[in-house]
Amino acid sequence: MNGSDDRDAYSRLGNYLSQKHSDQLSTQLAVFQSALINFAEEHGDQIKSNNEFRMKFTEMCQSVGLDPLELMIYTSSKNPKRTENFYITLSVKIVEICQETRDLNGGLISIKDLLTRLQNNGNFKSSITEQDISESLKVLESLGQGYEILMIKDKKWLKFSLASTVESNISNDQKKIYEICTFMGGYVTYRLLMDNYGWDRIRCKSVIDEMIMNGFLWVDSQGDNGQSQFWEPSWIS
Amino acid sequence: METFEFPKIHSFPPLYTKQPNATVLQQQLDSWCSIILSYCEYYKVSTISTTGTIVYSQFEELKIDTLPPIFENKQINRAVDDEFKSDIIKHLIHKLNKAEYINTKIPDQGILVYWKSLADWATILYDFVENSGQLGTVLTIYELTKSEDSGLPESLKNLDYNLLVKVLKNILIKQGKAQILMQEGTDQIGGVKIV
Repeated sequence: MNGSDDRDAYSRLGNYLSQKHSDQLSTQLAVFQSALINFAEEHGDQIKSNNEFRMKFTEMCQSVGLDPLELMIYTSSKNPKRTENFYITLSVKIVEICQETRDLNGGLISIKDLLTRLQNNGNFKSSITEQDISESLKVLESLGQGYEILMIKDKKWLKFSLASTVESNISNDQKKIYEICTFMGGYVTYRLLMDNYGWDRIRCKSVIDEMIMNGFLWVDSQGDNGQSQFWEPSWIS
Repeated sequence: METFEFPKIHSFPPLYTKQPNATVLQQQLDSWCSIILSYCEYYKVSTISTTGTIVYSQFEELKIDTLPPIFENKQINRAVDDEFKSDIIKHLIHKLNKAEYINTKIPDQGILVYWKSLADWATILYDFVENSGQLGTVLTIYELTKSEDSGLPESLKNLDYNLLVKVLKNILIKQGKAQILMQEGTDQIGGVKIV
């Protein structure tokens, strides 16, 4: 009997100690992270202007699991006066988000979605505005025509394509499809296109097939009355 | 227990149709697998059938047949057909290595879902035996997964027998950290010695 009691007591103690140890470690990590954030807020300018300092700082960020890019955006977004550096940093982050979401949305992201993603980035909540996005896109313009803002039925979208396929513009027919999608809460059908725009079946098919091929539309073959619906993936976010 | 909250994409109607665009399809398969993994983790489900029904959960009280189905969304009236289900399961097993047949020769026995890796399970099991001072002792399956008062960690409670076998055979025995004794006249494990 005694043996098993001892064993229990030891095992409880063991569990307690290892729990305590891991709690302490995560507290320490959190303290260190917030110290780094404070440091970045106070010495942001020096970090930016001194190359060696910046490199060391970046290394430290990475070793405690902070994204230095996010940290830079966060600290500079607190300053109401935007610097050119801020826009450059932000534009890198925008490109990153666009690349990450490309498979999902086919290269068209709503500005609203982009803004939410920028504002709630990892550890930070930063006060980035739509104006900041437009300014950052100007930075990207000098690199080519890959990124542009479109208006589709009162909603702003960012269209982006790889540098090598710059000519892939959105045609008027595709724009019309987005208009119906926005109106219908996300999808379009052949019937809707025929009834609203008087398109024939072939035109519907060719525009929609091309958009599916480019990843702009997802197929849903279980629509009402067996009619296929074609959904615009930004609905997900 | 609160009902599992599916991610928003589970209400996206085209998710239930296999996408013709290859890149989008990969994304779609990934989305499905991530839904399966978080669902199984939430309900501590370790075994599902090849058609995605729940076979075993570590929560004893859970009424398995009242759980929301994974591959169906009644609110939007959409369901994944069997052929596409099988593509998704294959993706989970072969592409992501996050699941495995209990017995490849008898697929109907079901699929073990690894929301926690076998290696992680092995660590938990080993740590428990070590911390409770039982290294080198022969332990029964009962002691490893059911025992009420031996400091058995919550995560091992009611651990799926089939999962335990994989943890032992695929990890601990290979590392030379475990030996198993079969029960006479059966193919069931009678005792386990962790060293």
